[in-house]
Amino acid sequence: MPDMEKLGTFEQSSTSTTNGYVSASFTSIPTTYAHLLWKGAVLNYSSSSSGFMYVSWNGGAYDAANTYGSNGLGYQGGNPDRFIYTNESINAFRYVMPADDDGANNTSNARSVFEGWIPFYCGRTSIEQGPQQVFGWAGSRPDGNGNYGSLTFGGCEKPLVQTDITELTFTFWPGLTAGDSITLYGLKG
Amino acid sequence: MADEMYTHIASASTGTTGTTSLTFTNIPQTYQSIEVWMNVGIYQSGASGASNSLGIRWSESSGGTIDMHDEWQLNDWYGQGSSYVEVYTHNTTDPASIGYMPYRADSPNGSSYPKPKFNGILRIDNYANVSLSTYMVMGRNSEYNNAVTSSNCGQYARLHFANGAITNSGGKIYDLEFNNMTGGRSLWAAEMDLYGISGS
Repeated sequence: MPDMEKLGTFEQSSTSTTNGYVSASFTSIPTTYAHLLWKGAVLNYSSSSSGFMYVSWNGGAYDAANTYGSNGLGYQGGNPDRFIYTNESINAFRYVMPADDDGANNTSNARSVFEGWIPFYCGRTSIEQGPQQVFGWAGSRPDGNGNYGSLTFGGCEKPLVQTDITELTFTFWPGLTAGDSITLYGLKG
Repeated sequence: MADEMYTHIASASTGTTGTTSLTFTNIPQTYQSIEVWMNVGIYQSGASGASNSLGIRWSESSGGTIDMHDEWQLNDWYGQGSSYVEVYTHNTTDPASIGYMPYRADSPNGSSYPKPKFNGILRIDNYANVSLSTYMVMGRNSEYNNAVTSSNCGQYARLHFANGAITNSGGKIYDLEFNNMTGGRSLWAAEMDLYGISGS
């Protein structure tokens, strides 16, 4: 048997009708895996605005405590190579592509795809192996200037607290579209 | 990608005493791709504030000579502070760099916060036919000069993303070794898992 097990899948049942937050939570995650891996494809509700994704774990609100750091290295059309470095209390991973609104140049409603992981999920041996995440992210909104094409690589961490992670929550703004999904896997080490 | 399945092949670890290299030997040639998931620290007594590279070498037959056999092209993107840098390196010397790492003089065990020096996933497609291989490595250096604390993510933290290709070989990768690229420094608290990937 492959040493990769599907732990759960979130699927958005209907397109959001409000300009708000939509969350996808995975709870009761077993603590027996060496790594957690997730893959997803999402398209935000808005027809014009680039969106964000926040990540939190163990039930913590993404804006609750200033113990997260996040950063990203992104490429975006005419403003390439932007390095986004923050010490904010939220982890924002741009961009969640907006739904089609610009006619001929964007007829695909292509979703943003992303993949992330938490290495050595239980901390394995000592404090230097704290929880952290690494993201690969690609989205496409091929308007005339390619302004919303985006390839982003980012990470975030919660350096001061090391506990087994039993809950992961992905929060999207501004909303999601029907059929968006995220799948969480556990990998044995 | 959706149907790819991972099989754990082996684990390797330095513990917390440090060593010069970690090696996966006799890698089965039956998968489409391999990935190494890693957390690595670099440690050198008496110095701090400089970066180092994590290098790899490999053999082309089981038990064969571990060396840097072919051209190794690295396209490395990283951010530092509020700026960014893109570096392209054409490696022809041993070992081949897969990315930069920080090192610090103080012990990784010496403070109350975690010190994830570098983590990343090295993926090599078509590793059993290297002439068609590409690879990518995602890495993150969270501490360069400044520590990660509740109010500071590390002013000089670096975030790396790299990709590239191994060319002109036609060989295979059987034994894969990771080591530090500067004498006197150790891989510290390095832990790695090797996976074989099948499906597409």
